[in-house]
Amino acid sequence: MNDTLLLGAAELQRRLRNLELTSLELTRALFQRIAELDGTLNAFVRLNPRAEEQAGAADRRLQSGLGGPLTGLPVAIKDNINCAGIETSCASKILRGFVPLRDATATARLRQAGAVIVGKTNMDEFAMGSSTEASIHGATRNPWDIERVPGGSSGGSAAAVAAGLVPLALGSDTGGSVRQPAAFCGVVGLKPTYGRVSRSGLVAYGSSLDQIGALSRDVEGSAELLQTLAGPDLQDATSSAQPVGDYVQACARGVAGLRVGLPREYFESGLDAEIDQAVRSAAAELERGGARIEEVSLPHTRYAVPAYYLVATAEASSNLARFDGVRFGQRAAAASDLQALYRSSRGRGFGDEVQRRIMLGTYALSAGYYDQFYGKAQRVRALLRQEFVDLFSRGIDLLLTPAAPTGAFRLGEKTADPLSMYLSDIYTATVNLAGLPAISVPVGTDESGLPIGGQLIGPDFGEELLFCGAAVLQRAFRPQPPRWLCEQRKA
Amino acid sequence: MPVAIDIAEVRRIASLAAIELDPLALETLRSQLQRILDYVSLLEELETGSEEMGTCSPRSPSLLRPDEPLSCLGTEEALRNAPESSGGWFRVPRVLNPPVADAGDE
Repeated sequence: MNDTLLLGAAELQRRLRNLELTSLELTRALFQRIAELDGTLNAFVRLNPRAEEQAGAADRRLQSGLGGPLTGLPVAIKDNINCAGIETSCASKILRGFVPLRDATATARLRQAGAVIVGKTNMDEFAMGSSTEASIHGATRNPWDIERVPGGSSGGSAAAVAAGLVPLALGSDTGGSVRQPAAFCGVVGLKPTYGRVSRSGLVAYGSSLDQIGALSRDVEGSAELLQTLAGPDLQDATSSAQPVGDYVQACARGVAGLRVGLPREYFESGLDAEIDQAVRSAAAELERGGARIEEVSLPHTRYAVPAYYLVATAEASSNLARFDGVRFGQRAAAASDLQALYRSSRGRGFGDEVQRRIMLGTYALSAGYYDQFYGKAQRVRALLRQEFVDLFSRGIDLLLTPAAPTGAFRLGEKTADPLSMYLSDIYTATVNLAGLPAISVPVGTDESGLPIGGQLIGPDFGEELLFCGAAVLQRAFRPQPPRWLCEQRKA
Repeated sequence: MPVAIDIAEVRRIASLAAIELDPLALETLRSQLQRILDYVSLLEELETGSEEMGTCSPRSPSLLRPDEPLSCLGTEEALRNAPESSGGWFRVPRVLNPPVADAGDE
């Protein structure tokens, strides 16, 4: 059963549909595996006590031939996405004990599809981080090397998928928080086009940047997950009515005739040489598949991270104003008046990184500085998006870049210097600013055996193109089980 | 030109953000914010004036539902996560402090 648990979601779904395996057997085996491994990895913050009940219901659907692509498949959900009746903490003291009354739309769509919710996964507090170290639940460890981070902020979801604790997981991506942990953990991480997946029930960080994303071991699993989640939602006025593509079929289309650009600015100094080489090897694989590879330019790339850290923090300062100790979450004791209640609840309830970002965002929006910081960042954002739009309108179909400048770094390595942590987002944050879809796919390992992720970026609602390219790369660079995990199995 | 940020400014921002800061951590926070502001001042290299501000993309119209009343949270549900409640209301400390003086006191 251990090898079965490392299969991709699509293959597990096939076995469930053919009644070779039941959802209840699979779910129980995963809970057993979580009990064995998650004490070390700390990917989950809580498990769903009703998972077996859901698995049983899924089995009844499957046995009567009424199963769909996700029926019976166990899924983990990042702890900033609401599941009715299960605590949402956002890895923060200020939300301890908060139990949402309603499912997020994404959660509701998973339930309707018959997926089994295994539990909630660890994250950086309020999705602000790139390492899943800034959490009240403690750090998550990377299943490839437990002295290293899984990336963040969706590190719990990425580690859970990589370690075979679940085949599929939801994360959220505001500046790279699905794609970077996917790269660090050697799994597939998808950020859809802004508006492709409803944000209703996702605790907001940067409302013009956030998207719920998919983590999986297989590209086809990611495509199935997006197929279920995508589509308009009247609960989210920013969700799009653009027709939903056939993402699963796109996985089989190949890349013949596609033009794939390598932006030179993504291969400059600061990029690890082994990652550079691995991504160029990935380009060669796409070329072998019939794609045409060309060097292109996105000249304003270096301004993306500063622009992101002004826009995102400004939006966060507004979004997190709701956490005030009044209607939900934790309240500081013995405040003398309402204003003191706000100040002390927030001062004691938010961690250091969240406070830092709220402060930065508040400053960027304050009188006298609004235009210099926030206004400027938004105008730079327009420039950045236009560069992508120009490339795609000139016939480039996809861009191929690294997903992160380095492999997974050591626990504690960047916690003392917030700016060095922010620079991890250098290849991913631009994509959120531009609202485009992107996917991170494993494209090899470095000399120390750590996984390397390549990122494909597509045009607006170009997820089908992403899956064409990602599937080719997955066939070329077969996913490997994490090194630490293999060592556990030998022991 | 990067802006210089001092402790007084950190306190002002904290007041706007309604966050009570640890007094022992003020200087560390100040220097971290200064370093970040120095970094984001990179944007000043770019000439931007006539561009529109970037917005969420792509430019789909907002999805709106018909203007019809729907069911909403009941009082009991709305209070379920409240730290303190009383008689169907969220309970909070006094809103005004100190008490407002009577006109006759002047």
